[in-house]
Amino acid sequence: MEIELFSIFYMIGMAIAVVGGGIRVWNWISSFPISESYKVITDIVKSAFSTFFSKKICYIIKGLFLGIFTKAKLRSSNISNGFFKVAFIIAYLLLIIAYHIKVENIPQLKSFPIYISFFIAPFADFYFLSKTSIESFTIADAFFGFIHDFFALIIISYLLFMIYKRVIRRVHLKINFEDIFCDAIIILWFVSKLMAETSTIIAFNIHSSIAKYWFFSYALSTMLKNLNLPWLTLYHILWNISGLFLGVLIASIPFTKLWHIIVGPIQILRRYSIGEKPIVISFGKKLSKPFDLRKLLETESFEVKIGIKTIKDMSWRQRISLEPCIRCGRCQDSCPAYAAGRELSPMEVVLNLNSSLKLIFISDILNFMAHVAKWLNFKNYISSLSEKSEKLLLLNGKLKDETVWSCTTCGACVAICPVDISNFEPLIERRRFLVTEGKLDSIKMDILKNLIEKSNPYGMPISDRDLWMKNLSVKTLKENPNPEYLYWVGCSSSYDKRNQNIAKSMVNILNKAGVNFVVLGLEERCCGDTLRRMGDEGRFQELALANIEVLKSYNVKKIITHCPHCYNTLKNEYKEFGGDFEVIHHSEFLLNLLKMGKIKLIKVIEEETLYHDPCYLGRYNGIYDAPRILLQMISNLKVKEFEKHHVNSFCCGGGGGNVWYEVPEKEKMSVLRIKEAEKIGVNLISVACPYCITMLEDALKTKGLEGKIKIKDIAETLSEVIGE
Amino acid sequence: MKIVVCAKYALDVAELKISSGKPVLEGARRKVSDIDKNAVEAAISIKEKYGGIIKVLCFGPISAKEGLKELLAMGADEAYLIEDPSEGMLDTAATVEALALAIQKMDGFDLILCGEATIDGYTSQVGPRLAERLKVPQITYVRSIKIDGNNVIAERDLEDVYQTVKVPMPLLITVTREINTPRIPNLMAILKASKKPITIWKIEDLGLSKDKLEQISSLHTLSLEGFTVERKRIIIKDKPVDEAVQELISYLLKEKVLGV
Repeated sequence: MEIELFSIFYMIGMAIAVVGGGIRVWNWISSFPISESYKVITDIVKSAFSTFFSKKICYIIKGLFLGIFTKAKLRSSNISNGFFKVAFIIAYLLLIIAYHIKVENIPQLKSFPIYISFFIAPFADFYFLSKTSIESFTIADAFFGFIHDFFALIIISYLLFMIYKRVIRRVHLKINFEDIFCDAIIILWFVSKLMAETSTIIAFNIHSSIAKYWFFSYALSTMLKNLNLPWLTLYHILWNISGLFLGVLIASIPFTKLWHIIVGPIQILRRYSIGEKPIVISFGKKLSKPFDLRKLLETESFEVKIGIKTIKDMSWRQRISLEPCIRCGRCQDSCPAYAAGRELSPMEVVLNLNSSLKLIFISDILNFMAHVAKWLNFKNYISSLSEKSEKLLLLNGKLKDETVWSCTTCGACVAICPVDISNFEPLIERRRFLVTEGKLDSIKMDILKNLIEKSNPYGMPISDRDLWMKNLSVKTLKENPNPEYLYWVGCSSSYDKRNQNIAKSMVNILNKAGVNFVVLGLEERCCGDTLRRMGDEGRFQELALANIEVLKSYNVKKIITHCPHCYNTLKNEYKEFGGDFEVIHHSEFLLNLLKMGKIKLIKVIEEETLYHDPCYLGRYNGIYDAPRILLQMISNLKVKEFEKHHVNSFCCGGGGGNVWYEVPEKEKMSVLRIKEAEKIGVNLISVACPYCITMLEDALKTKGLEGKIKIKDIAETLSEVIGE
Repeated sequence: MKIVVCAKYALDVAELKISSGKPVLEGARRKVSDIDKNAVEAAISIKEKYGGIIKVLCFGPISAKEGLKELLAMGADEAYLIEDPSEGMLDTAATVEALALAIQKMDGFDLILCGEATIDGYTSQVGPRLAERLKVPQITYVRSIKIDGNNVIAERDLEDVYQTVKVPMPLLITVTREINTPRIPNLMAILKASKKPITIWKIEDLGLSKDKLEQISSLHTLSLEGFTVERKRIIIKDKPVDEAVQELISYLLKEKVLGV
């Protein structure tokens, strides 16, 4: 028996796919020295093993079902779309499995070795339909025929729907050839296959008791059989055409966005393997640590690579994590910076870097040629070749400075991404590079200078840090060395006149509830959130280590803070530097006081309130309910919701250092948020973050709504209802 | 090109506290005077274009080493610190004497850069005095520098006019804040810079003594007084814009912020 042409198309396609896949894997590991590549591989193997023999395997299995097969995240943002995609994936998988089982049971194919029958599997019907007799036909064959046509129809209709969405409804984006190609090639392969089956049924005059199970092809055949066409010729042509389409489809996987079939699951499993819930973003709350300052000081070697100058400066993990993008555009739609008209689309960031990633292989070839030229002593070519090779990898054109600084690190893009890409990770890495090179404008220089010289972003005197607590009954750690809690005030509420009121309210509540607490006073410094998010990793570590030293010297165990940025940094980032404290956000702490009856309400607020989720509280740390329940308990009225709330909350524009500098934009993010509130029509917006207050109140001024809408921290509202 | 930059480890006036009518100088925070950082930045950009070596020179307390480290991290090559025996109580003439002798001790210079003034004293005297003492030409209040062969073409900022002058080297230049934005060295650069040399001289190494400097110094401190200026806390509101503006102008005239 001979191998048919269609299988050869498939084989060629597969060979191209393997080479292409190899190139993409090369792009992941290129430029890591051999010893390091070896380490990368052993790391993967090791972690795979440790995962397999630990509790993590449960997360992985869960991830397999929730994340990959049932697309929990996608469904949560768009139910119909999510279910459609699930049907598509499951249909495809079952179809592939069904084919390979079928091949084992077709008598004509038994003579082929298994590696050949692999290439025959998608064409099993070709061998089966034309040669099976009614006698040998079993119920299993009937079932196979049925699921084949059934799943083929699901797949075709899903893809037609996708094309409809892109071309006619123009959801998300402009049309791109690649998008249409990827959808169309699969449709073409299935349509040609169904047509080929139809022609088989007609040409061989298959008995209807068999053919009817291939219900779609059978229906077509009853309609078409009266046409006087050369069905036997068509039968050969159509099967080969379907083989050609399949070959093209397989070959295009590593070269198009179809690559997400391979890398998407890797990415999703990685997220599940760290046990993150879908309501919390998988990246951002603990930024990567390119070096450890303590170790550097010990060894006195300060030659460390920080940030990304070229695409090769990204780690293999970061490189892989960019690749599953399929241009669905959800991140762009959810991005507040994009909505504000800033020069930033999280999707473009990923796509630009992806295109850079593909250049690694070319650059390596050029580099190799330069080595050959050197060996052959072609002096003229050496420098130009290696220069070109280096130039290809530079990120200057791909990540504009303005784009890099436009991100508020709100994480909306990461939260919505169906394949868990950390869109803004490269932006932070790029900031690290820009800071290292000193390529900052004077305003950002000043922010960093203020933080370095004065330990606060305002540049206010260190000695003014405790001015807010004058005339308040607050003790510092020096005065009361044995407190239960340390109240971490943070820069914003220490210096900003408006936000000092939050700290004052907190002191009022804590005193009323009889909590044994202290503050650091003059010994408190910025937690370092702004420094780290603006890319000054060295200074962040310096500040963090200094803060941890102070906290440890007083033996501090529990910390309360009202600032989600301090909360996130103290809770999630200090651990890596030896600062393991129990950090409690004031929303949870105050709710607890209220529930335990430690504070008595003397009145209730009668105002309707709208709650705005701070990014670093909700998306970063999963605290959504505490502030809402608290507001509920102190008001008679229901807490209203913004259109975008909980995990999809819209950033005020203050995160990632953005509260301190301005970026060219059409409309402020905070104004967009206030507009949303205006539409809902409330007089009070409750927040749980000092930055949100600063940004949203600024927007009120811009919109001329001062006095009409009030913005208050939940602590301020609570302090009002328990009296002074 | 040999460039010497004079930098002061000045009092951080923003952090200066007044206690019972006196400024608290003991333990007061210090930092490199802002405008001197502009001078270092200017030196670095000249070095980047024309090559050369940058030496920073400081007359101040031993703690000034911290500040010098920062300047080395920015890109200066060598640092020299003359220990001030008088804790900053000397006037500009004495400072200049120490600086001049130190510069003479070095192996020559093409260009000396200073800030137009320091953030604490703000006398604007050290630069011009130093030029006179070293008998080299000077260009003050410079907002841009170009090198043309052996000449420096500099633009001076004279409040209502800009003046462009061309002067042959060696010479002394004092720069304004507007000339550039000083880079902020990152922590790695500072740590790395700790390996660059800081030479510390006692005034005796320059052939001076405390008495001699005090003789040169014509400044005699009788007492140090601190004044706290309270904000006026005047708020103009609930008035039509035209009226409000008129009122604001009349207040500013009264306070002599605006002149007629």
